[in-house]
Amino acid sequence: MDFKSYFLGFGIAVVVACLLAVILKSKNPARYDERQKQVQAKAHKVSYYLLMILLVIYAIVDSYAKFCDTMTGVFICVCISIAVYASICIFGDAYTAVNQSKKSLVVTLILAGGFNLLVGIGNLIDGELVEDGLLSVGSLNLVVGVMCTVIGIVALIRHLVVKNRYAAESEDE
Amino acid sequence: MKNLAMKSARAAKDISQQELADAVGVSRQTISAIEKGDYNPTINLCIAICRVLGKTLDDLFWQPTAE
Repeated sequence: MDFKSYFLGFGIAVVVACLLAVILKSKNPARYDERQKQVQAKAHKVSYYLLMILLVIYAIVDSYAKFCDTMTGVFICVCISIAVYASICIFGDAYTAVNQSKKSLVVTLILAGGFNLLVGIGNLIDGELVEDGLLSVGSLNLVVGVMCTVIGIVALIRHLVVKNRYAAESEDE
Repeated sequence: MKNLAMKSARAAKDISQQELADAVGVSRQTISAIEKGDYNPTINLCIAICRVLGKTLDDLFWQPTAE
């Protein structure tokens, strides 16, 4: 798969995702409470500075030992930043809105993660991950798949922690 | 500092954290955090909680200073 067709597919996917998000949100807008907004603000700050640091590190590493093309490198930095943002929100119980169920998060992660992992593994088998000795755009699906998996694992851990804590609090009462 | 006054007022009304959270429009974890003293709510949320529990702000949120 060449760069142009990959970029076109990626662009179409982003547009479709944005349209779906706008349609779904207009029907049932997400409502976060004041504590959740505080946690999200902290997560935004941390992920923003992390992204800056990661991009600087990538730029330095890239200038000495190029290991991937520019789009892949930047995308990996963005994915790490998003994963950290989501993890902070999940651990602060601020990822799902008050009026939304956690099931929607799980379904989204399974669909997005599963699809990207499948395509990523397909690219790996076809040998499209590395081109001219550099990690190419074909690896982006695998990166997104891994990111969704990491967020899913964090959500699962948090779910188990909250479940146990709530059970303990209920016993106290 | 734990907010035991709010916890006991909620228990006296036989309301769960989830029920109180739904009544004031926040998540259950927010109510839990307020009771544990991990989060300081805004005055608007304090008033909403007081209204649901039938208490005053002094009853639930005033911390008397040790003299």
